[in-house]
Amino acid sequence: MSRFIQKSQVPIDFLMGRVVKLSSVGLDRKSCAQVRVRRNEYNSYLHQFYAKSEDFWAFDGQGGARLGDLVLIRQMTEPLTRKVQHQVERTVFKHGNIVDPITKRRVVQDEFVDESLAKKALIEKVLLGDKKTPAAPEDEQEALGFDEEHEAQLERLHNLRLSDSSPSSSSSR
Amino acid sequence: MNVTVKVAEESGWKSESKKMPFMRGPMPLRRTTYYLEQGHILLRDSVRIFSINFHGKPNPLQKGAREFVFWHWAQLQYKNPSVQLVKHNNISVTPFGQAFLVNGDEVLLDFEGKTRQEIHDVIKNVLGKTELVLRREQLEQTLQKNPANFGSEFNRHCLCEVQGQQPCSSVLPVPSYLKGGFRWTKSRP
Repeated sequence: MSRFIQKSQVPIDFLMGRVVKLSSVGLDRKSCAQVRVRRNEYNSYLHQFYAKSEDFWAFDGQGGARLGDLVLIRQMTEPLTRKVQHQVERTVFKHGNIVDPITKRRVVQDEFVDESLAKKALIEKVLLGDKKTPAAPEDEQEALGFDEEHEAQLERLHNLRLSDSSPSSSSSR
Repeated sequence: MNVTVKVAEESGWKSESKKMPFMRGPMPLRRTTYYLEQGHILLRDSVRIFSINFHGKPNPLQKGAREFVFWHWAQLQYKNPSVQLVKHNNISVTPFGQAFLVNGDEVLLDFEGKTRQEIHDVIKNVLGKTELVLRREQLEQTLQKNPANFGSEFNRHCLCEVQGQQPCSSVLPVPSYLKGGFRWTKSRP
């Protein structure tokens, strides 16, 4: 089967990969990042491409690369050491802080952060009304009973729905 | 399908090898060389990396990108073996494509709300080689392959294979006036 696997023809001078390790070289401790690059190999028997990972050490001049970042690396004309032949050109996506390149809004688990915060604010508005937090145990006598609280919440929800459906209101995306 | 089961039952045992061996996966048509050769997008030489963000379970706006990856990703890699193709699954809400050029420039393509065909056309028009460029490259290749050439790498090994040229020296002795020893030494009067 291995004789059917054709090595990838993608040249190694300009690649995209994920940072898997951070280290430093030399007396002046120049920061480097090990970048895992996936290139597709063609299996001419199965007529299918399979991704093959390779690790490249890249010199991180700006020092901004963190574990898990998606980076672009380029081969250096004068390599730093025998192993460090590439340098980190730029970070495409930062780990844990993915910004949608088209809308420029931050994304967390298939949802825009500003959208999810707005939803949360709406829910709090319905549940709590003008109060910032639910009633503390000391204020139990002053707080409304469950049924009254529930009625107030339903009223707030109804009002919100009416204001949302009115022609003057703007639709949020 | 059921023919194999019938044969297996008749022979008394079920064999894997009796089934069609490569009809595996959701659409095995994509895994034929004929289909892969049909890739229409040939990316320009300046495009070195192309990545796409699609969604495994797409909503209607994200569907086109998923279909494009399903049908055309292997074709794209087959036709552009020196481009690094990268797939991102669900990293962002909007489906998009990013092309990174040699000089570090980024080309961003928005695929939200587009159909598979529209995405294919956008990539072809923005990042693909035009027909004029392809025709010129084809002509340049044919120029390099001069049919008049002969030698160990070409169709005709020796010029003696061409009718009207000198016969092979292994069959008939070469006349003395054509031999090197005569030409470089004895031709001078």
